[in-house]
Parts: sequence; structure tokens; C-alpha cells
Amino acid sequence: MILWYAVTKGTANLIFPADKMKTFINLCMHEEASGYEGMEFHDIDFDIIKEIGNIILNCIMGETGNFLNINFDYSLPEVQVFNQDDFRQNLITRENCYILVLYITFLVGDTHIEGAIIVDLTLNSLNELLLKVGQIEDGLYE
Amino acid sequence: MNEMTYELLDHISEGILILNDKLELIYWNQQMERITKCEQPFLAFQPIEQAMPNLSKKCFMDAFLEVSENGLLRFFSAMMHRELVIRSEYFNLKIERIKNEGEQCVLLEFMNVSSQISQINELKIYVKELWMANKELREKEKIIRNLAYYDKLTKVANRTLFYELAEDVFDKAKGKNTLIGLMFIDVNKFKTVNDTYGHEIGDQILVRVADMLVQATRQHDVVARYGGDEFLVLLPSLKDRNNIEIIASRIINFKNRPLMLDGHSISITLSMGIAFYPYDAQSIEQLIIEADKAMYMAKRQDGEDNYCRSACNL
Repeated sequence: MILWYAVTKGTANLIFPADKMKTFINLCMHEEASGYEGMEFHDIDFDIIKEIGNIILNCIMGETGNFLNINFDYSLPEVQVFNQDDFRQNLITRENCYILVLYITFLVGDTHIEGAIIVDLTLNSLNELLLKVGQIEDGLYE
Repeated sequence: MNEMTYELLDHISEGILILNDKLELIYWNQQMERITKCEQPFLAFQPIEQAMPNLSKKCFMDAFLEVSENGLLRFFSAMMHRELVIRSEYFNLKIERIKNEGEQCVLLEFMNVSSQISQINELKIYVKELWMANKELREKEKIIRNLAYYDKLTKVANRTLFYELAEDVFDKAKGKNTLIGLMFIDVNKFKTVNDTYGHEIGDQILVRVADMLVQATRQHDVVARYGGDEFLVLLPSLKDRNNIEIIASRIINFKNRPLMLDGHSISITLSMGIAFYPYDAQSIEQLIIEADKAMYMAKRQDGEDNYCRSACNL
């Protein structure tokens, strides 16, 4: 999860199923999956997820920022493990409840990794983004 | 930055580097000197890739430029980028853009995570050992369970397992008012076979008979070796008493193929006694007795393979 604090405020969440992320971490560390690990994540794993999340979110937020000419001032991702209920609760209780969902999928070697980016925005921020998109659209017809 | 800021940076536990917009080294704090054993004056205004050759890889150089030009934040994890600073220690690297006297600079923050990584690795080894020990224990438990519950020769259930399973089957049948069938099966003239061909062949015949019974019965039926050349087949949830004849016919069909054992073609015959709950008995012990009686009736009949139903009918 990253937070940004420019005029447009919001939170971007990068969501991956825990098992897929575990596979991905093993690939990054060149380690074979061993039956005994289960779904426990430790600090090394969190750092790796933080790095991967940082790259992906930089790409998405950076490109979006460039495209809409908005400067996003944002933090490094925070990494959390959720069960399904906690995650639902986490989304429901958020202040920013207008969400943009982007599905992402990529291949590392023969491993297929699927995930999603959920961007939560306040109504004002969403309006501002739409206004920017509208302005760009208008520019196309001038 | 003023003197106090530099002083402050010298007293923090992270290694700090500051680069100018040309990616040349302009500051190197004391912690960094301790880690690398290099003093700042020797490195001042050197390009970062020369001052720290480990950071000359494209991914790092691209990151420095992205941070410097676009103000992005970058993070590199110690486990994915080993030997980032020195070989013996692990560092996470955070890169961000700062302003120093109006100039855009790049701040590199090296966080030592060696002790965390070594603790995690120790823990991983411990968990692996524990997992292996637990796996061995479960395998041994399985062997012990097999020894306790399965017949060593034929691999079908032994008496102990038969009685445990039969108890469950009876409880369910009593609760749901369903029909249970029990077959008591004996290999005819087994002693003669043993005397003629020897005990090893005799054992192989028992194994084949057990296999035939397993193949001829349904998945949830219980095949057990009751002792010697006697087998029990428990048939829960029968829809009709006549259905047991289908199973008896299947057993006879399987058995009709002569057994080829050590070059001998051996034909065997079976006697089967059949009893039903609730018609012939109200308990498993009684059901076995009734099926056994029926088996002796079958044995006394003319012909080779015979099966008889219990004449008890409570």
C-alpha cells in the first residue's frame, strides 16, 4: 500500500494472493519451494514485496502522473498480510471509498503471477483526476 | 545543509550517501566510513559507480536517475541484492530526492539488516528441522498404525480394525435403520494346499484371496483377515438382501481364474456364509457367529464354491 499526499489524495493497494506472492519470493531468492514453510511471511519476504511493489506502483503512479501532468508525492509501500475478511473490513472502513481496480498479470520464467492494483480516492480527488482526463480529451479535439 | 545536519547524519545508525544531480558523491557519513572503511575525503566528487562499484549495475544507475529526475522513491531489498555494500553484511537501500541549498540531490540510505536476516535464517533452519522431525514421527505413527490395524501378510484390515470399523457401521445402521451384510469366507482345503505346495505358496494364496475380495467388493466395504484362512467382508448400507448375491458372484468369478504361483496352476474354492443385521443378529459378535454357522452349512453342501445365508432370521 502506498499513500500520496499531493492535491490529489489517495491510497494505492497492490493486491496479490499470498500463495502466488510466496512463489514469487522464492523465484526472486532463487530458492526452491519447500513443503515446510506454509504461508508465513517474515521480514525478508516483506522487504522483497516492498521492492517489487515499489517498482510496480512507481510504474503505474509515475506513468499516470506523467500522463495527467500531476506530481504525486508518495511514500514507500507498506506490506500487510490479510485474510479475506480482514481485507474486506479494511476496504469498508476506509475514508477513501471510490476505487479504481487494475488487474495485473505477469510471467516470471514459467510462473504466472496474477494480482490487482486498487486505487482508493476521495470524491474530490476522483473528480480532479476526471477533470484532468476531460481536459486532455478536450485538447484532442481542438 | 548546515553543520548541525551533517553532525546529526554522522550520529545515526544508517549509512548515508548524498549524490549531486550528476550522481557524484558529495557526502558520506561516519557510519558509511565504518562500514566500508573508506573515508569521505578520498571519495568526494567521485561518480557513484566508481566510489561504489557494486552500485554500477544498470538497475541501480537507472534508479538514481529516476529518483533524481522524477522524484520517485526507490527501495532495494538486501536478499535480492546481496553484497550491495560489502560481502559480509546485508543492507536494504532506500533512495529518495532531497533539496540541498537549492540543488536537487539524491539521498542513499543503507539500513543494516544482517542480524534480522541471520535470525530469520536460524529460525528457518530450526523450523525445517522441526518439520523433518514431525514428518518422520508421522511416518513412524503411520507404520505403527499399519502394524496395529492391518494384517501384515495380506495388507487387509486385521481383527482390531475390523471391530472398530464394524462398531461405527453398526451405530450408523441402528441410527438410520439400514441393512448390513456380513460374509464369512473360508478357503476350502487350505491345509491340503499348504501340505502339497508348502507354506510360502499357502501365504501367496491368502494374499491373492484378499486381493480378490477387495476387488470384488465396494469401496466402503470392509475386508478383513479374521485368522488363518478365514476372511470377513462387512457390507454396510445394503439396499436389499439379494444384492449380496451380486457380490458373492463377483467373488466366485474372480476366483475362477486359476492362480499361477511359482509355476504351479492352483485352483482354490471358497465357502461363504452370509448373515444380515437386523434380520439374523443384533450385534457384530452375534452376526459373526451366524455368518460362521452359514459358512459351515455351505461347506457341507455338494459342489465347489458355495454360499449360504444364515437360517437364523430373528
